[in-house]
Amino acid sequence: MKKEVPIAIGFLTAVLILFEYFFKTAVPAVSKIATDATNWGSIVSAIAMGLAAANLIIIHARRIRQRHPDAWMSWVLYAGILVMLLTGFAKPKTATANIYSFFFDGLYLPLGTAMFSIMVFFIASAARRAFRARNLDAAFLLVPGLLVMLGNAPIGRLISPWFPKASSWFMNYANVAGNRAIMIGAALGMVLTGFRVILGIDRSYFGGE
Amino acid sequence: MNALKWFGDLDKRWLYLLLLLVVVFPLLRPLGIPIDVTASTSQFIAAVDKLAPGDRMLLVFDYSIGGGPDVDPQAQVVLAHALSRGVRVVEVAFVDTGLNYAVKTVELWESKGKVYGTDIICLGYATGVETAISAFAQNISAVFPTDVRGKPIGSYPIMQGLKTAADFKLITEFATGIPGPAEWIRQVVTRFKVPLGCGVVAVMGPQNVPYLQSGQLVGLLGGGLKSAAEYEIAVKMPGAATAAMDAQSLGHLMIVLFVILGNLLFLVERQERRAAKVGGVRA
Repeated sequence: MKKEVPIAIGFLTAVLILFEYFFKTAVPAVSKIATDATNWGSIVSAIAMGLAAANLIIIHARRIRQRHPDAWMSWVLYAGILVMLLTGFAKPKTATANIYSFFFDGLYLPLGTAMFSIMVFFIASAARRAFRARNLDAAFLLVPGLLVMLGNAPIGRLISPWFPKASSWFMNYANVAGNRAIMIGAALGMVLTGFRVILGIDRSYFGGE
Repeated sequence: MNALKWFGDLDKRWLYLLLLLVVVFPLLRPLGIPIDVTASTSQFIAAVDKLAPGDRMLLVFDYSIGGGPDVDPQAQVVLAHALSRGVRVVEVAFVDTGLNYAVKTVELWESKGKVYGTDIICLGYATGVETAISAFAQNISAVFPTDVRGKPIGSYPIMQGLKTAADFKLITEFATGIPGPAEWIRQVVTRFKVPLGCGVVAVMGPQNVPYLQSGQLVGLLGGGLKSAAEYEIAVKMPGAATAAMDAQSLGHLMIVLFVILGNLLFLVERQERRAAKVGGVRA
């Protein structure tokens, strides 16, 4: 029963959504039920977020109990959760809301942005040692890459008007051809996986099977 | 030859410093490198230009903090363009951090005289990614019974008559991952036949070009900050993206030079290895 019931729920919901997608004009009554089912999807997702937060709290409580050398980080996490949770409920333009903005705009935002920006230095280092045309295949990857990079930067046109043209050709023809093939292949794979899940053949979402 | 070897052995921290200087210099002293407007950006602008004053546009903030500097300038200029034409804008987020950008944007435009609930509104954030998008498209008030300020959405003039995604004249989505253009095309464009324009981080641009060619997107800002700069130039609203373009240009040039020098060094080293091998065999 532990497996049959979830499979049955999954099967019925999937058939309902698929039926509504293709036959909603012929059977308008099904739209209301399908919309309710989709809304339930959002509700379950919201509950899952709460569950994830609870799980995080439990894991870090264990680290603190075990006196892990990095347990202080868990306390920082608890403090962060508590402060952002309490200030996050505040009404806009109040002193409490300003505390939230201070941590979000003054700490989280610059840290997140800096993490992403730091990549440019790794790219610079890799540009010298890793991006090498060791064989013909690598050269086919490297040369268009450089052309697109120069063609996309405004300075590329100053060097030669040929760069933006080459970049545009690679993006609109070579890139599209490759991406379409990948997209169609992935879409077919998604349809097959969907059917396997609906029919209960693929049960990997139960975990470990 | 010696210069190439010196470059190859140079401590990478010197490269970092050089790159930093090259990027910072044009930020302090702009060079004014001209920016061309690409076809996909022009198509996006044309889609916004098609809207009449009073039409409603949905603006979706689906971006994270990391990709924000690449995508946020796109969202800001598209919003400024739409509002300048008298278009009413409904904001929503399906990525949690996107909500913070949406709220700040609303506050900014309120301070510039736009009326909340009439010209612009922020409905909030809904979890559930593609499922939430589908639910929102089918019934807006079921997903967002109230806006971010806690009032029923039906009490605002801007929301009158807005029931499903089909009631928007244009949807613009700005994304750094999932959900992105593919999710919106699957759940909204195909079912509700609403025009969709997307802005994405530069790394996502190439994979979304097929949607533009197939007509599933009416416009694509696929070059990250560069696309935002193009948009700013085209609508004559220069801003943060235009100011950053010189720095990005020189940064790109520097990386390309590193790649070329690295490959020259590789060829020299390979030549030397081969020569040493032949010499060894003869000896």
